[in-house]
Amino acid sequence: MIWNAKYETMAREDLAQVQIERLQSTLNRARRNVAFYRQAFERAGVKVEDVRALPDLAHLPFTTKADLRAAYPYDMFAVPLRDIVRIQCTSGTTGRPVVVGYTANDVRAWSECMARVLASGGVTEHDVVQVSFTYGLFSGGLGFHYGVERIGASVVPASTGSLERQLMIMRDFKTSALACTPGYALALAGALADSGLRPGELSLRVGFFGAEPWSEALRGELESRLGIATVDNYGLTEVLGPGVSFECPSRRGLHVNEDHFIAEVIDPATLAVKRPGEEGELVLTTIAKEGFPLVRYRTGDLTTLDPSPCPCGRTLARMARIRGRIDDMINLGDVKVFPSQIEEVLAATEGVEPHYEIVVDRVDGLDTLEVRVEIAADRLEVDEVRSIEGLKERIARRLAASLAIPAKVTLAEPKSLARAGEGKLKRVVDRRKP
Amino acid sequence: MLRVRSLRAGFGGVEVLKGVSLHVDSGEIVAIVGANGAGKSTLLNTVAGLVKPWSGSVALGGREVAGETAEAVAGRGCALVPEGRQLFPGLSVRDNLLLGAWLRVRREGRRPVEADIAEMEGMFPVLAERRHQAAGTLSGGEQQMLAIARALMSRPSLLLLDEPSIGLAPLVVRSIFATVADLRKAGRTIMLVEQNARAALAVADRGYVMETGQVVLEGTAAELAANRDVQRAYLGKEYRRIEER
Repeated sequence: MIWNAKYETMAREDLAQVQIERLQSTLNRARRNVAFYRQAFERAGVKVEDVRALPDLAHLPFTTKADLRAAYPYDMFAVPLRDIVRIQCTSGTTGRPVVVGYTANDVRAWSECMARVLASGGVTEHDVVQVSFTYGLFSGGLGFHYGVERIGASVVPASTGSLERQLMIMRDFKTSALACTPGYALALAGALADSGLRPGELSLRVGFFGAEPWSEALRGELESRLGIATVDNYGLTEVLGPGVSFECPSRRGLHVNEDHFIAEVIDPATLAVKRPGEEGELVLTTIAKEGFPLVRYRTGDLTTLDPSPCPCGRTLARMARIRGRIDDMINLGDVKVFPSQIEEVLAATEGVEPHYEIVVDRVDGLDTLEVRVEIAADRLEVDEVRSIEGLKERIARRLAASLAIPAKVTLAEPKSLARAGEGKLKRVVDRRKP
Repeated sequence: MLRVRSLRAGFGGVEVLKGVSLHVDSGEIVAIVGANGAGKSTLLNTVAGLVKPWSGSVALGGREVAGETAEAVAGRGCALVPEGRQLFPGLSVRDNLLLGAWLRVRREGRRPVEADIAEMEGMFPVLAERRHQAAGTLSGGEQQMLAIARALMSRPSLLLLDEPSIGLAPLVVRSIFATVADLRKAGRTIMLVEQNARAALAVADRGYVMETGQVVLEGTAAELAANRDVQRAYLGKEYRRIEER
């Protein structure tokens, strides 16, 4: 279902006009109201008046996470604090948090972007949507919450916490749509199996999973174990929160809300803009935000862009599902490995759960990779030592084929590895001395 | 209908429009609001062909008209109601209306033009009453109605209104904007430049806020009216009232 036919199915040429208008007015406001941008444009020797067409965006300087941290807490705001009606911030797990302010119009625009995500998964006023993102400073909870209200569906602000309680709500409140991280959904699927409930006893129909990269194999696992369809969606607090892009039923990538954001993909090393289809770092410029406009923000996420038409009727360009974060990339000698590649292999393998840990070490000057994965509970009961050895070998073979580097596989007891909880799960342990 | 891209224009060496982009869809009223000197009227005059742009694009119905003469732009269906009305004060109301259709009289003859005069007199009954009176003897509000009616006589696809409320009493302003709202209901496409942002945003679908020759905000009329900067600068809401809302 398409929420806003005018903007979601607008001819690309008309969209380009909307984008250049909004880009120019955003740049004019950013330069007038944000000291950082005034200085950044001056340093780069660019005049915003020279941005006459969309490709001119490439002449403007980037904004990085470090810039946003240095502006802590309010220096990037483009309006006085009295015009800000909401403040959210990033988790700050890797440094100072980034504080983001929203005006009343920004909150409305955010709700609009989220309504598009939810409508794409078929949510209507008849649905009960359980939002199991952590509420609070993290933008996931309230982002989905306002989108559900905009559509007029019933929102259950379940937040995170006891899985049993989540399942009780899901069963008794007849939850039809679930919004959470894929990791939390996997934990819920495990709790569901333990509880003896069958997916058929729930009213759950669709899951909106996001906020961390998840593989196609994990998608299949979640869909079969929860008996639902899934919709991937993408966003980050710095530019909005959830609602930047979302999947349609055609599943050919995530449609970017291009009337609110301009997406570019760059080479993270040379910073050159890549062509459609070429993988690189996603760079986003907000063109409809009042409180916290960002120009060419480097997201650190790896993807590709595809502006070609989609069978769903939307004309909004699509970005590929996020392959990983540049920060998460593990360098092993000259081989680069993403945790998502390992997850893909594990989720597709019978006999293990996609709960895993990656340990990187250096032995005698050589980088080593160890993957610890939980064995499935039923597997442990029936199988002999020999078949468990066979399972390890099978995983090792598949990993070697996928990663182009050998990995040691260790099987862990069921439920012995960390689960997704409130914060982001740290799956990679790097023991190499820097 | 109208699509303007990165338009620059000025007088002498002074740049007044510093890269303005905007669009008006068919059947829409789009308001351009901003303080005195922001470049609003220069924008309208540049679109209408009265001011030559330095660079940028003006497309009317998909056809590039930037740099064409005012007559050529008018011939493409764009009619300007200039600030200060610019009527012919010594001529009668009727003759002013006829002059509004002079491009058409040459093409279509008198009959359809007479029919349109009758339509205008239906829409603005005061113009029928004052048919033979000299335009200069009309009140300010009546002159503004005549100026709008004269522009409509060219059967424009896009009507450009420059400060229609300027110099008029509040009650008269209200009736002028009621006229604009009626035109919208009749499916007219209008670009409206106004210092009276409150009245303009009340009738418009979308709007652009200009400051020193640049667009600094765009959005639906409701979004602009909800923006606190717009409220402080153009809607005359005092700081205290905003805080109390």
